[in-house]
Amino acid sequence: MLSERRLHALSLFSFFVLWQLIAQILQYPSLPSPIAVAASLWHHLVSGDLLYSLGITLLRVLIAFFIAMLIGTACGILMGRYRTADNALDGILVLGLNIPALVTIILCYIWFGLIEAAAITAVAINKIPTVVVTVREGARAVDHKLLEVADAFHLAWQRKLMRVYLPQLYPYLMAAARSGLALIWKIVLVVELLGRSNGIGFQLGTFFQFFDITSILAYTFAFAAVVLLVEGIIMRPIDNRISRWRN
Amino acid sequence: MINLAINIPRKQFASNGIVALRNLEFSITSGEFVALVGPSGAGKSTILNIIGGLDRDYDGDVLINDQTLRDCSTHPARIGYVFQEPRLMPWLTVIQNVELVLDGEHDQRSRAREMLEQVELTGRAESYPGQLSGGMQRRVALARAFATRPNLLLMDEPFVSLDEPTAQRLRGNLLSLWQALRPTVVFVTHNLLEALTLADHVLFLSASPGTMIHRLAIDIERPRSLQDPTIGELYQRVMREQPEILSGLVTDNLESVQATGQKRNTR
Repeated sequence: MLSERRLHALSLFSFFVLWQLIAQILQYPSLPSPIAVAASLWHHLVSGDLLYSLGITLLRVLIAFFIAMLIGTACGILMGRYRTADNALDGILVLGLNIPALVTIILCYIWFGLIEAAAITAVAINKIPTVVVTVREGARAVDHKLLEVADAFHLAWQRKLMRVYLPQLYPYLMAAARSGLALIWKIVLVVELLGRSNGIGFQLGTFFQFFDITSILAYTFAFAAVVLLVEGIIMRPIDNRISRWRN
Repeated sequence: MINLAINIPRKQFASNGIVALRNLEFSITSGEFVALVGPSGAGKSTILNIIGGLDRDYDGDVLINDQTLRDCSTHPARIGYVFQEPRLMPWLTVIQNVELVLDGEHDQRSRAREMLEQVELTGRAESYPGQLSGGMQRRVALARAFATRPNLLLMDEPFVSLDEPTAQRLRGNLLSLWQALRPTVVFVTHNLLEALTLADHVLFLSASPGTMIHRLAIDIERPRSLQDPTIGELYQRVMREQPEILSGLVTDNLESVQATGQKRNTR
């Protein structure tokens, strides 16, 4: 039996081999081989433009992510806890869930101008509704019997929040954060393509104009590597820590 | 020092319209150990919730040391609460669960350890509740309630579903804690023998909506045990004279049920 990890590596390796074979047989200029992509990746890495763009994009992702999580969590708890808030905001929530990302981006750029704040706002607005939906679910599922324990023993509100209330929301916050990052990565690129003059999205746009497929793929893989890294060194350890008690 | 006076003409649950309590009136003097006995659905847990300040939606008043509980922003008593289920935080270890209620007190770790020692769970301090048996979880809940050094101890069938030797030992722990700190205790049980063994007074409640149908003073000397013949005798007599009392029904001559200690009351 293969271990899970080996199977993972094997499937990825086969994918690259297959790709290399097809590229060699077809010899299309629009399908560069993985080796050419790797060379291009190295070139962009050494010249510095890749790291610079990656840094800019990561920063935008980070800021938009925290804003979306903060506002989304607050609204989610509010709506999960209070029926009135739920009724009042539900219509807007459904609207927010269904507005295409592109529309929000265009409107933000038109209304606020082609500035950084408009870009971040557009990304955050796209993400907030899905955070709200997930966290609201969690807030609805909160066990009131445990909150009663906190009240019976007169716990200070900070302690009640941190040790009794929020731990019940952690799985939901984690799910929101995971899906949130995945979505925000994608939207940030579009935002950069449409209205910023730096970042991965902007670079991809430039490569597109020159039909530089090799560079596009090189950037894509660099990006994918960062996503995997974030999952491995940030998300998974946090996840393990907060769900330790389940094992 | 916690004196309680309860006067609740009516308690109705807003959610389902059920009237849980009606014309309930009794008082408990400080340091007294009172057992509430009654059929299920008599509102015993509701009474504890009200005394503990968890439920404020009722007609009437609860006075704690002559203060109206409803008007207090924080509960005047230092409460130890044992719920019907253990209600431990599954994400906290056993010792963290006990420490949780010791809000920032400087000796919280050593106190929590001491409490776990009392319920014989020192070896499981770093376990999570999910790794413990139901009985062990109950013991953690007891340790948590005792840890606060309560002056008002509210207990909702705390020893149910424990094996008898463990229950016996924990009753002993409860009594030594009570003798050391003299908290006012309100102890809900449906086990009359247990009530007679532990309490100074047993309050019998009617079937729903709950009201007090009888108050039995027990002046049998301590220490008592479940096996004492005097307790057994008293139990037999209560059951003989009021065979339906545990179903919340009484026949007329209530006065006939009187507790006996060394001296037998004549009527």
